[in-house]
Amino acid sequence: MNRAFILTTDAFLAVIVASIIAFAALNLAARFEDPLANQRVLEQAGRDFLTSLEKNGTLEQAVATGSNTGLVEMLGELPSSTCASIQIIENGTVTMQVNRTGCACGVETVVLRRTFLVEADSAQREMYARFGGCLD
Amino acid sequence: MKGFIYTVTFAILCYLTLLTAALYLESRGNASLSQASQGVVDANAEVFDDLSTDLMHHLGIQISAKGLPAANRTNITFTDTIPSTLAFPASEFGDWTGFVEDDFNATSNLDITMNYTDFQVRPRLATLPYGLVYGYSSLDQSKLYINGSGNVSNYSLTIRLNRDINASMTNDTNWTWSGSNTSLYISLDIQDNAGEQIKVHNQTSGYVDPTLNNSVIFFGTPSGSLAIETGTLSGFGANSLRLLPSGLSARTTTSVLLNGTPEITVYAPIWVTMNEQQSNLIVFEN
Repeated sequence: MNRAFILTTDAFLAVIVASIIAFAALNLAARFEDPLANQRVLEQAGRDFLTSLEKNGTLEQAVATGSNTGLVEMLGELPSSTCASIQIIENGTVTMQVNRTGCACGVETVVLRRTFLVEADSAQREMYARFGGCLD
Repeated sequence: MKGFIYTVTFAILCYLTLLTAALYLESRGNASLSQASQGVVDANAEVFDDLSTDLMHHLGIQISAKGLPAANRTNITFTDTIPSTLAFPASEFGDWTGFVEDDFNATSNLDITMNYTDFQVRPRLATLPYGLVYGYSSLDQSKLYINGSGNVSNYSLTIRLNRDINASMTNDTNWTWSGSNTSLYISLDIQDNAGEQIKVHNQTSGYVDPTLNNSVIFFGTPSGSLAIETGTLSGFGANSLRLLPSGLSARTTTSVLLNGTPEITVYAPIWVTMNEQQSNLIVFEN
């Protein structure tokens, strides 16, 4: 009787200790986070954003009309946690810049560029758009 | 003895628990590395897509495709304007490639190089797996051809001209609508600047003899002309098509019905090398 009690107690204690170790290990693993995950999400969002701007004609229209309205509207569609600006650059000169209102990146953690062409008066102009962004 | 067994069992349990945690951490780490590699692939794919979009813009072409699974056929459509709307298309093409290789390269540090010599000489888009080639005589896009194949069974042409056409001067002596079914069916929807429908032998669609060079020339008022040729064209594959505008501009939508499945890739023979990756410019995938 005494022996059985000791064995049962021993096994019970062993299960408790094993559970504590397992919990600690899983808790430790759960705390492990990829420090660049958010960065990659922002990069992907930036790429998709620039692609949309070119393919839906927003960039070309902005250059052709000299109006940044389309760019402002598109920037406003980004997730609220994303702070970003768009520059249009021709011959190394920034010809247009639009910043998302309500935030500013102290340091831009993602910078992406995409070329695009503008046709006017039977001539073609080559330029690129620069996306600079960070998470607010 | 029993105490020893319990201790060993406990130690094994602890070891297994820690091993599980270690394997989990390792898998998370590998996933991160995989994501990082994926990021490089995404960045490269983005640049290839960027350059493909530019090329399509430069050429002024749009492509779409639609499968007709019940008939095991595919319709691929090219929307275009011939000749090029640019005043100096060849030099503009050179400006674009120079811009990518010099200006854009310098700011993006992507080490992009482009081999476009072949495309400059014979600007064209090739279609896989059908062997169909949509091309031009030169970068000015003054002559458009579709180098066909046995897979082509139908051309549907919509053409809007910027000139009036003098119907009485149309030369269609070398175009014969076939009285019976052949392997090549042509549908024409041609309107001149006044919105007048242009017909060939008073017909807008029908079968033609694919072994002949069927040709028709429409003359513009006061000048200009558009020649259309289809069938067996010298130097081209079976069931080909050629449009030759002269002194006028034509907005064209050319639908080609192909025998086969809708998995189509259209690429331009411009080799782009970047980050040790090399690829043709894929301009359309379905």
